[in-house]
Amino acid sequence: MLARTALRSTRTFASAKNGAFQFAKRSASTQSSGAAAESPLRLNIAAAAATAVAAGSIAWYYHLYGSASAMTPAEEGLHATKYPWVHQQWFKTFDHQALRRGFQVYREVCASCHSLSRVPYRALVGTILTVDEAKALAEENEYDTEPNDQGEIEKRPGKLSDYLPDPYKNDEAARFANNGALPPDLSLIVKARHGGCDYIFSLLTGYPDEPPAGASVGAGLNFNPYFPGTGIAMARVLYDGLVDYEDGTPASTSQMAKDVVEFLNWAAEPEMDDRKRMGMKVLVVTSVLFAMSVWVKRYKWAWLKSRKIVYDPPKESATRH
Amino acid sequence: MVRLFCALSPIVWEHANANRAFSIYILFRKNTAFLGAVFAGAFAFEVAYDNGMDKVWDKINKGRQWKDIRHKYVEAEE
Repeated sequence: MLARTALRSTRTFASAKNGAFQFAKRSASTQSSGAAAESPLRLNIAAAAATAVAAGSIAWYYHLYGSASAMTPAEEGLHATKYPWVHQQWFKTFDHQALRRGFQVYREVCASCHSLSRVPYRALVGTILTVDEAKALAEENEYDTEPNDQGEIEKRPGKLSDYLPDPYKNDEAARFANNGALPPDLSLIVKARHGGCDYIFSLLTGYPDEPPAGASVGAGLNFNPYFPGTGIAMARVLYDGLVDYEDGTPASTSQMAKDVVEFLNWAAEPEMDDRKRMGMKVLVVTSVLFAMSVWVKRYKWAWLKSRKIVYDPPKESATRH
Repeated sequence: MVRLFCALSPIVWEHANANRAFSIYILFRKNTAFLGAVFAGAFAFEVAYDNGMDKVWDKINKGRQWKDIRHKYVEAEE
């Protein structure tokens, strides 16, 4: 049945070339005479022609492009390993000690190329830094003032309401400094990348010592199997002992990657702690309410559900009519 | 919370008819008293529930939140 339909549509397509009126005539007369008019010979020719066209177009594609290699693992990037992030559990907050370490890694390593332009200093207060620390950090940078009486824009030290400064003046400057590659803003990077935390952690720790045999790495690029296309402009940056953690945690590559990923997750979802706490309250109260409503329903229906229908046959009477 | 009380009220009402002498069912005789009881109960429950759940939350996340590590950095500066 399916083959029949396919054949018929091929024939329709071929006849459409001859003129629209024929096509219209044909669809108008499909029910009455269409099936009866097709001879087996014409059907066979149509099937052979369609097969030849299909096989020919596949052969042509192979001739042009060599192989049908779309969406290969190299193009997609290796699937990131699933890691058991504690902060991703339903009822767990961020580990704020880790956020503090991650912010240190960002400041000392990532911030030289990557901006974090959606995070103001005030967001760091009470989650990562104390007020005094955040103020001191903000004052290290200069920001533009509002125009003064002469219309001049001056510089002032940063305040808590300022946003973290960008490493480059604009995207063009960033590309120029990085061999044409634009380091993405990291504010929402955990939400913006497929695989989120797992992907970024795998990317940061996944640089091999040298590219595998046969892999082609473009000029100025580095090989990373987790990066879609495998050629990434960013070189490996995290090496053991790169930063000196204030809390004495050994700064291994994976420790730094884990901390900075958790920090970036915080940057993308600063509301997560409160959201999950509210979610827990909602889940608890709604499950109690649901249980109560089930109980009330059973209570109300009890008379109906517990009744017994008995068939009481008419008494057999002794007299027969 | 209002919904909860409304869901319960018919049941309680039946009991109220049975134990008219019992003092708590005075609430269900006058509508103003009933409504007042609902709002007051909702308010009290809200406060108690929030505080209780926050305690549970802090227990689950002991040592992870900023308030657990804050003392390290605030004392160091003073």
